[in-house]
Amino acid sequence: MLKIYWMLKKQYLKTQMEYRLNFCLMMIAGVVIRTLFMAITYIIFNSIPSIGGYDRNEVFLMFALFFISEGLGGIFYEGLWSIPSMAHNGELDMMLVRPVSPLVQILSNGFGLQGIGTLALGITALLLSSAQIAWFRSVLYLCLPVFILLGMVVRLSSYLLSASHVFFLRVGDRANVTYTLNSLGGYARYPVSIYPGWMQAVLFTIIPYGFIGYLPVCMMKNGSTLAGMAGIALAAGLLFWLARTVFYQGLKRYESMGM
Amino acid sequence: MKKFWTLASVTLQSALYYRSAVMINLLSPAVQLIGQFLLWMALYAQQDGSSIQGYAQADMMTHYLLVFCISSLLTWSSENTLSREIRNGSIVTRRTRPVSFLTQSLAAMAGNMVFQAGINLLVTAAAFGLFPRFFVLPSARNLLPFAISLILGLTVRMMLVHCFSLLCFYTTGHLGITWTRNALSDFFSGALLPLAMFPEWLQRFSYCTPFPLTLQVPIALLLDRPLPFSFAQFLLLQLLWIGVFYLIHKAMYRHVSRNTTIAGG
Repeated sequence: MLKIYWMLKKQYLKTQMEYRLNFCLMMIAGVVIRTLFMAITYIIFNSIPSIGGYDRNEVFLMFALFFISEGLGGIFYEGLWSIPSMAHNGELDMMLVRPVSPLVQILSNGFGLQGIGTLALGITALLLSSAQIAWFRSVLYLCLPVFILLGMVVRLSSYLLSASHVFFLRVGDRANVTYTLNSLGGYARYPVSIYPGWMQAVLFTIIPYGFIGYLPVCMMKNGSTLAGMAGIALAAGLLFWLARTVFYQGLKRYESMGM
Repeated sequence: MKKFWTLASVTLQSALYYRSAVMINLLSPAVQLIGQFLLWMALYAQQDGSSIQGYAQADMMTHYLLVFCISSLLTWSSENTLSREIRNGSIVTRRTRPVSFLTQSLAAMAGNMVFQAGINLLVTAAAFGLFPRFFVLPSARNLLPFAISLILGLTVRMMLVHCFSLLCFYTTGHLGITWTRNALSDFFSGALLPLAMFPEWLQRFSYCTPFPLTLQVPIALLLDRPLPFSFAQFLLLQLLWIGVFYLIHKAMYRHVSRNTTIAGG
């Protein structure tokens, strides 16, 4: 299965690299957007010493984890964004007749070039910010890959769940459900504890982006890294199970062209 | 103008075909506005309500409410549509219509804007009416300069979006172009943060670009916030940028016309 996934991914990357201007623009766009987000936060910190008890470097560490999972998501499962259009245009037919899991085919269908730039920016931000944080010990670098992996699973589940709306709502491929939820989830780049209770609940359930950047930094700062890891792993597992179930239930309602 | 409004009406009808999708998309900016409000309310709460760089909480909330009202009028549909038409060859229909390419593009944007403008005005009016203590009610005497500046600002923005969308003729994907344009526009127009909060050098640089003319300037005029130039000077600047974008359009479109291969070009 993994071999097929890589083969499809490689072919897709080749087609993308054929168009150099587009390749460069997408990579630059990924960096520009996130750099400007960080610049805004940098400016805000000129007037405010901390946000919810977290200083500039700690917030940038949250940003970094957020960007890394976003960048890796663009590279490994960009295809999820196209579920609504594939369902609407009947392109899922082709995937359903192949002897490979439809989910694997969707994950391999597409390569978010912006992911490369976003990933590079995320890694740079992570290295720079973690070096400035007093409580960040070297051993925590070993925990970061686990947090990043779990963040990727959370993000994948969230994309899959929101993109599956196309099977249940008669909205064609024009509703920006995934984009809207992703935008709102973007507020979890900041310490989630600053928001009112209902918003915190949203950022840990409906749009569970609080698990990507905020919770890992919070747990590492409080010295409960392993407990945090276990908790996030459990949440990520549950989310993935839910998203996968909803997707396959949705597929049963798929009616080919003209949804 | 009759042709312009006919095309705008056609675009509106096309956009309304999937009504549930339209409703979800119309509410999308409102959802993002809620996120922005919550973030700033939390920041002000931890400052015990004191102002941040000269912006009291009500000033900031009003700024973001107006940003929402104006900024979400133009989405990324322009590049998206044009890119799709170029790839599938249906761009030929645009080229054969007895209406200029620029007029068609602006009419499509205006058509897409109508419904969103209605919803945004309703949300803004409801916010001012239901939660007056959270916002600063603009003075009536500022309405006229605001309206003039807003109309010219929207024209600048439509021209800017149009020129960026012409870049779709040179590349296969539009996302890179749209994202870069959106990011630059949001940052330098004051959509993400009022320009008055920027460091001095960045403010000066921002006002050298057309972006603040589309958002920060009309909002500042309405709310009586200090601006680096007078109202008349800003009007001249807006007209100047419209002219600049028109010339860019002419140059780009001439080049594009010579190099387009229909159906797969």
